[in-house]
Amino acid sequence: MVKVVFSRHLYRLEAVQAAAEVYADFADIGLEVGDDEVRVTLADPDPEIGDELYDAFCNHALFESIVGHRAEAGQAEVGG
Amino acid sequence: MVELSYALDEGGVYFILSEEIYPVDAIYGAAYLFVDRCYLYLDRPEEKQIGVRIRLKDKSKADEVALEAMAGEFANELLNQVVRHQVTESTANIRDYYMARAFFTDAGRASIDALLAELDAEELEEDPLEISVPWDDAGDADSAEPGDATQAEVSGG
Repeated sequence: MVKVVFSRHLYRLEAVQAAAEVYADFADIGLEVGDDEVRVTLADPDPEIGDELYDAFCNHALFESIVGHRAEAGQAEVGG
Repeated sequence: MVELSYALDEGGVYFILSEEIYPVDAIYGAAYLFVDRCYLYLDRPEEKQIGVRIRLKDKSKADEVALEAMAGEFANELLNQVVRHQVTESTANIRDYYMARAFFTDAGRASIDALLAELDAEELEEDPLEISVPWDDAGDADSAEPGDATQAEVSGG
């Protein structure tokens, strides 16, 4: 089992949740949401993915966080 | 001498960045460009610090030379993103002004009004060459009628 801690200062909760949905078929994923962190456990990973599951999950969460952050910033600039 | 320090470990590179020098937007910008060929992970080792761990997706190429090159490339991109962030912030007011002009000004009406104003200004200007024209009644009270002027041209041969 692999544990990952995502700082909510850097990762959006929705982004981590989106990554969990995407990779739900490849591992048992548990989320523990705190005020400052989201703790994710990745258990029983699909053997075909193996060690890459952790890295791919982190990338997905980061990518979605960046996209969400930029979308929010763009809306704020337009005034919407 | 101030350096951007990083560490090589576990087939990757780990940066610790000061948020006061490298805003989150800049770090996001650089990370976004590396996410297709690297695995990235961000954390907060301390307040006002952001840790960035980068690993090459192709582990077979993750030797020290390649990691050093990747670290240098990421550092350069960080600097690029910081500059972009600073320019964006410094030009925010100008951008807002032009957006407001673009969205809330009737462009057609404005251009017609501008043309009319330009024409009015031309008519009010004095003619520096002082070429008299038949329709200039304000010029010479004894000026001949247009028809007389024509006769004079014909008789003058």
